[in-house]
Formats: sequence, C-alpha cells, structure tokens
Amino acid sequence: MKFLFIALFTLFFNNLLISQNTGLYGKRTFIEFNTVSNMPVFSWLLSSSDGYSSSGAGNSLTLKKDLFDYGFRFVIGRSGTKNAGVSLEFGYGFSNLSAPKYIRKTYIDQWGYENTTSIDIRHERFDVHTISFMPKIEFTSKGGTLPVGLNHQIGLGFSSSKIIERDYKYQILNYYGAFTNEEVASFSKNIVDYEQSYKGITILYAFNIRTPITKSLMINYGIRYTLNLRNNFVSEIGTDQYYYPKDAVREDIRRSRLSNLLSFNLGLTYAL
Amino acid sequence: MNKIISFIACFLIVLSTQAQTDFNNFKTLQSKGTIPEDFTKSTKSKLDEDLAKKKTELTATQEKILFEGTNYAIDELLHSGLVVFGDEISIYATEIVDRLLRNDSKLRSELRIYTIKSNETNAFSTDQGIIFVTTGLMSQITCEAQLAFVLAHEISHYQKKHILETFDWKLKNSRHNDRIVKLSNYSKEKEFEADKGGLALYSAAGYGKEYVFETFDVLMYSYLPFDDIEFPFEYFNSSNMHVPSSMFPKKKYEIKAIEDYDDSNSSHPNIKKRKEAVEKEIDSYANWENADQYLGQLRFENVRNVARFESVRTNLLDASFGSALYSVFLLERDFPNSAYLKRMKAQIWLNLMLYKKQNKSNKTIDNTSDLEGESAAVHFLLKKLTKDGMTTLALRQVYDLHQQYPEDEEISAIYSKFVQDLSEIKTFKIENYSKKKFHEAATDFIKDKADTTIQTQDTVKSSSKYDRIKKKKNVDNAANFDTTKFYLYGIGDLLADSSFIQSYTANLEIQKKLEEEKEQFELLSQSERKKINAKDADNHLRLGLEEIIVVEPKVYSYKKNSLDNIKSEKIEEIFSATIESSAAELGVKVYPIDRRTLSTKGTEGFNERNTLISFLTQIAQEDDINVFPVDFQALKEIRQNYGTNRVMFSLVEHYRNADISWWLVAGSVFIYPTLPFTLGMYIPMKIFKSNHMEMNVIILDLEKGIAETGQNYHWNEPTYKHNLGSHMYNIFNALKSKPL
Repeated sequence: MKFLFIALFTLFFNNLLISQNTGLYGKRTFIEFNTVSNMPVFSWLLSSSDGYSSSGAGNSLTLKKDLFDYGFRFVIGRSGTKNAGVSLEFGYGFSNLSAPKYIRKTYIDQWGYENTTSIDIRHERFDVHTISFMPKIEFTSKGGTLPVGLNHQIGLGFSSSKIIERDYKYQILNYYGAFTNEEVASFSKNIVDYEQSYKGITILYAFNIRTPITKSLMINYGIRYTLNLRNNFVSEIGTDQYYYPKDAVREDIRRSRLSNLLSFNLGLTYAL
Repeated sequence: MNKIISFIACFLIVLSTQAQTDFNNFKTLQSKGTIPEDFTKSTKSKLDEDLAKKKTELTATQEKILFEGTNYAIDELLHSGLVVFGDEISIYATEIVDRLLRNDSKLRSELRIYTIKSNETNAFSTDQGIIFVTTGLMSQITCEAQLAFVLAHEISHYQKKHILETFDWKLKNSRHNDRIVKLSNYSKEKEFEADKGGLALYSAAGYGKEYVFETFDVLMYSYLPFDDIEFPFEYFNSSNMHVPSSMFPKKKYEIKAIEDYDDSNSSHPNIKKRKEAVEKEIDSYANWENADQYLGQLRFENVRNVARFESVRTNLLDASFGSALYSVFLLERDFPNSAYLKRMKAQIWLNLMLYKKQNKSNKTIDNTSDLEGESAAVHFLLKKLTKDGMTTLALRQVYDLHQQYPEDEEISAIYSKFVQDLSEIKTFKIENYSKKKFHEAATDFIKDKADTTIQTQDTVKSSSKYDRIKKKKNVDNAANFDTTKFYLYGIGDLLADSSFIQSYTANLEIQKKLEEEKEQFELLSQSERKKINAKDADNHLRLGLEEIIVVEPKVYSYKKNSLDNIKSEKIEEIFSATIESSAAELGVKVYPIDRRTLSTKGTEGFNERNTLISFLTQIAQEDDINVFPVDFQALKEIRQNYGTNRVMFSLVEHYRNADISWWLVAGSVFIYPTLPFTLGMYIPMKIFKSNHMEMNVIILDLEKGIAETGQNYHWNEPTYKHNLGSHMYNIFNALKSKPL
C-alpha cells in the first residue's frame, strides 16, 4: 500500500505542491500569548552580569550572576498564504541591571575647591522593565500551513526600558573598611534617574512551532534570537547629576539586552 | 417442523455452494456470508489476545516481537484488497480441510481458510490459524486430491508451529556467518516435516497416493499458464484481418523446468528431493485409498474455472497482457460465448495499444529469454508487432467485439476510449490504410508481379518522377504489398463505417484543438505563462466537491528505522476520525469505507473496499497511461450505491530524525568561537525540525477511471489529532471550492 502511494505521487503529483488553503481548520487570524525567558549566558561569560542580590531578611547582599530574565509577549497576526503571514508583537519584559560598584561623590575640600571622589558601594540590582513593539513577518518553507506548524519569524521592533523605582538595598564602604548602610540615605534618591526611558531597536529572528491542541488553540514554543541596539547615541556625561549616569545606564541596558541574544518562548495561540 | 426447516436450510446451503457459476456473466470473486472476525478486529486487539494467551516458551519481549510482526503482516494482507472469504474457492478448500481433519475437531476449530487473488501458485498458513490459498494454485491443479495435499501440508506447518520454531531458530542463530545457507537448510527441514505430517492427514482422509506426486508436478510447472495448448496462428484472422504466419515463431519454445534444480539458497527443497522423501514415507501408511476427489468432479471443475477466469483479471491488474490474452484463448475453448471473456479481451487489446503508444509494451509481454511452451507464440507475436501493427490489430479486435456486442456497456465504453486514445497516436493515419483486404492485395501483388515482366519501357517513360513516387507510396498499388505490413489491409471495412470515421474525426478535432491551445500557450510571454500555470495549480484541488467515498487512510509511523505498527494503527484511527469530522465541518458528505467499520458495514463494505483498492493498484501501474478499470461493472455499482464518482485515498508517513551532524558539533568544539552558534542555533533548529510528516491524498474518478487529482505535503510536524485534522480541513476546503 505504501509503495502504491509513493508510486502514485511520484508519478502524478510530484510538482503540484501549491495549496489554496491554510490556517488551523481554516482559521488564519490568531492571537498569541507567550512567556519569554532567557539565561543571559553571554553576560556570564563576560562576568558583566555579576551584581548584588538581596538575600534573606535584613540588608544582606550577595554577589550573584543574573540567572534568569523573562517577559511576556502578546501577538496578533494573520497568515496571508500558506507560506507567509504578518504579525504584531507587543512585549513586556523584566530584566535587571548590575548597579555600579562605586559611586562618585562630590565634596568641597578645605580650600573651597569642589572635588569628586569614589566610594565603593554594594547596591542591589536595578529592576528594568522594557516594553516593546515589533511588526514581524512569518514564513514557512514550501508546503507549510501558517499559522500551524514550524515557522520562521523576522521582526524589527522598538523598545523602551526604564529602571523601576523601589527601595533597593545597598551598602557603602565606611571609613573602617566595612560595608554598611548607615550614612548614605542622603544620596539614594539621586543614584539613578528613574524617570528616564532608554529606547532601542530590536532585530529578531525566531523559529517557532505551533502545535494544535484543539480546533482553535495551539501550543507554541520556539527560540528567539534578538539583537538589541540603542537608538540614542548622544552622550550625556558631564551634564548628569546622578551617581549612576544615564549614559552608563543606557550602555549597561544595551549590553544587558544584547546578552539576551537567545531566548525561549512558550505560550498559547488562539486562532480566530 | 423444525426438522423440515433445518432440512430446507441445509439443502439451500448445499445448493448455493454447489451452484454452477455463470461464466458467461462471470464476476470477479467476491466475499460472501458473514464477515469473519479476522477482518473486523483491530490488529492491536489480536496482538493483545495472543500475548494474553502466552502461547510459547519465548520471553515476553520475544513474544511481542513475534506476534506483533505476524499479526500486522497478516492484517496487511487481509486488508490488501486481494483476500476474499466465503467465496467458491475458500468454501471448497474449507470442505477439504473438514475432511482432512474430520478426526481432529479441536484442530479444525482453530483454522480458517481464505483465498488470495494472485496468479502465484501458493498456499501458506499462519500461526494464527489462517490458511491462505491463491487463485493461481487453484487454477493449476488437476484434481481435488492435489489441493488436499497442499492443504494438509499447510495444516502440518501450523500444527507443528513451524513459524514459531523458525523464529526461535533465527533468534538463536543470529550471529552465524553462513546464516542464509543455514536458514535455508533449516527451512527445508521444516518443509520435509510438513510434507510428512501432511501425508499422514492426506492418507487418513482417503485420497490416493499417486496424486501427491502430481501435486509436485503442479508446483514445478506452476510458472507456466494453467494449460499448455498450441496457439493457432489463425486465431486473429477473420474475413477482414489476416495475420500472416510469418509473424509467429518458427520453432517451439521448450519448457526448461527440471526437478533437480539447485535449491541451496531456497526455502523449499527441490521437487526431486521432495518426491524422494515422500516416496520413502508413503509405504509407512497402510490402507491407501485411491480417491482423487470427494466433492465431485463438476464442483472441482467449476471452482477451478472460477480461479482460471480470475487469473485473467489478475493478469490485467498486473499489466501482464500477453499472459492474459493466452488465458483468454484457453478459456474461450470451453466458454466461447462468455461475455466476460469478450470484455476482458477488449480490455487487453485496449491496454496493449495504450502501452505500445507509450513504448511500454515490453513490460506487459514476456521477455524472449523467458519464452517457454505454447504461450510463447502469443508473446512472440505481440513482441514482433510494430506500433502501427499493434494499434491496428487492437483496433480490429475491439471494433469487432463492439460490433458483436453493441449493447454491452463495458465493451462500448472500451471502444469509445479506444477511439479517443487512437486519435492521440500521430503515426496512425487512416489514409495510409488500404480499402482492400489482405488476400485481395496479395492476389493483386502476384498478378502485378507477372505483369511487370511484360511492362514496356514506354510505361516508365510516360509517367513523371512525381507520379512514380506517389505510386510507390500508395498502399493500394499492388507492387507495394508487404506481408510484414499485413495490418494495412485489415481495417478496410472500418474506413467505410461512417460511425467509426465520425467518432474518430471528432476526437481528432478535439486533439487538434488541444494542440493548438498548447502552441498558443508556448507563444505567450514567460509572465503570462506563469500566471496561467499558477491558476492551473490553484485550480488543482478545486473540484466543487460535495460528497466523496473515503477509503480509510494508511499510516506508517517509524521508530528508529523500523515501522511502529501499534502507533501507526492508533494514528490511523485518529486520522480516520479527523477526515470525517473535517469534512463534516465543511458540509462535505463523506461515505467512509473503513476497515474499522467493517463489523457494521459487513461483507458488502468489504467487497467494495477490495474493488476500490484494486482500482487504485491498477491506476498506479503507470503514470502516463490512463487504463480502463478492470472492475468496470463493480465500480459502476459502487457509483450507483453511493451516488458519487469520487474516492479518496490517503497515506501518512511519520518519523523523527534530528539529523544532527556530530562531526560539525565536534568541529565547533575545536573552533570554539563557533560553538555558541552550534549550540544556540544549529542543534535547537535541528531538534525542532526533527518531526517529519508526509501526507498524500489522492482522488480517483470512478467514472472516468483516472486519478483526478492529488496532493502531497511534507511538514515538520508530529501526527497529533489536530495537526492531521487541520490539514485535512484545508484539503477538503480546497476540494469543495469551485474552480476559478
């Protein structure tokens, strides 16, 4: 029987691979909710992700790597043909940023001159929230049936990141060489600008599988490769009143997001 | 009263089994009676039953391998479209088995006998207690006793559990270097044992010992047609057509089979050794009786004729047209008025023409090196015929049959198709044919030869160069007569038949139009051609389908390069259900002909399924030849029963293979900057693409007798219910759409 079929198809229909219909039971429009997670492996390699995390009760901080970033994606899309479609992705991501290991402190010396000095600091990682918006093209190899099955995605998106304001734990090296949190309450407000948003451009390539579990619902999972670039290169050094200057934050956010080159996504797709 | 009813019932049963078949209106063997459980149970349930019984000393794993292998292989055969139950041959063989086992009711109750439509001369038993007999075997034997010995041999195989023993032997001898030779020797031992055991049953049943040796002769010459009768050279001659004897072989082709052939790698001992072994054994049984039959000579001949008629159909399905033609000749001697044989003959000639048209006729005729016996004459002639010769002789035969049976729907359909296909043969030109008959042309030629001697120089001088060329080309010119072109003088009456000329010319016009369209298409710009091709491709599945017969899908799911039978069967069930639900959702009416519903559909459903599978088999023979459906009548009945011409077959194959190149991975460890790419992109992508699903769907048109359309896909997807369902939905959606 098998050979019969193989013979038939080799004989009759080998070149006729074009299909008129696509979609999950004909449904071509879909909405999707994904969780995206990644382990910033590149940061580990560069040790740049080393930062302090709150551990246990009290103010104790321990030096740790950033193990896990995550986010959510909401996608709406439509397949135009069985091999190609478009989608729009809205994302909300959570990541963190290692705080600087020292802060600059300006003081007036005994002769009346303004001086700057560095003070070693242990500061809890900053939480960073990123919202993103990305139009994507989805495509499959010959014979696909979008949105079902294996597909490739290419996207170019915009992102905006912000450091979240909350009471971070920190410790400052005191005169006796010990880290304490006693005397720095005065500058904590100015360590970073929580109002500043840091914009960037994201280029995405992803491959994804959508496996139907009902006539409308699919599980989707895949791997995303993102290249995050900042879109604002204007230096603000010198004009910055914050201990953790905006330009440094911008660069660190860019580096951090760049380290999230590879991420995994898992979610549900509902076909309409 | 009850006694009377039982008597009438018995009488009717006996009457029905012994009724003579109407060979004039023969119909291919059909299953009859209640459908046995062998055909309705799922293979998995059979396997579970076998495993639960714990029938052997093997380990649980070994038993699973054995029973899974045998159960799935047998079920594949049972549902192949070739097996029938309750038919004349199966019942006949069953009654012989009844006799052979009349003293062993327990063993008898374990056995079932079915027929395989195959021209192979064979019978075999399975460890599940099924004995298969081929129509080929039945067509070759000369008495009931010969079949009794074959059946006794097979019962003995079953009784002695030879399949199990051989499996066990293979497990224990899997590492031998000369395994094939040893397996062959082991297998031969089992055959001797089966002959010995079979002889005991056979002797006890009261059959005569001499027929045992005749059985071996049957087996030895079974590769030849069921009879070896001289083929008369004038067979194709009529008042209109004369095939000269020079077209036939001048010598007889000897039959080469010998008893003492080299059997060193065979599973069976050679005939000489088997005869010798049986000879020694025969004397150990006293009280030999002399019967060659118990069921009656008439009954035997009837059943054998059924098998012989069936062999013509099988030859047609196998595209063995030379053999089919010789079989028809043999059967016509006893059944000169059989409409069935006439229909088959018309089909054979149509197919010969179609295959010759595509230069594929060699596949349908025996090779010269294989020619043996009297049937060689037919193969020799068919081989010698040129394309025009074959076309004309075929036209002559089909035309005559049509004239002879103008009311016969099947022959009329064959004739119409013949004329239609004839118009596609560019070398066939009616103006090339003579109005004279062969003998008239021959007489003129002889006369002309005599005249030539007194032809004067003036005659030559009086005609121009062009006149002389024209004269040389004129078939009616007596001097041009050539016996090798006998066919040019074979259709003079057709040229005068306005109905034929009209029909042929109309088809010619259609061909001309198609060719003109093709030429115009070639003249279009590339983009215009692309546009038309895209539209054609888009229209490919658009049939405006409203209803369809769906034969159950076939699924092959592989696990580590071997077929996972259990998973395949499970997916088949799911796929079958999704086909029906997807179609229903779109409002397409589906008539399932599914092995899973045979318990409710019964024997009729089973027969219909067999007919459809045979049709698929026939169509699959060649891509560029639209054959005429061998079961024309049965297909028509199906069309009428369901009210649709369309049938869907589908096949899914699935395997997982990530196909990761470990050399590349190892290489990237050494060239470590590439490692992130390998680990982060190459390996995940390969894993994601490791599912491979191939789906093929084909739609047959029962009325036109063609594969109307089809689609094949490859997806990197698993075979989950909704993957299959969604794809089937899309296919039905396309099929339902009207052409653009």
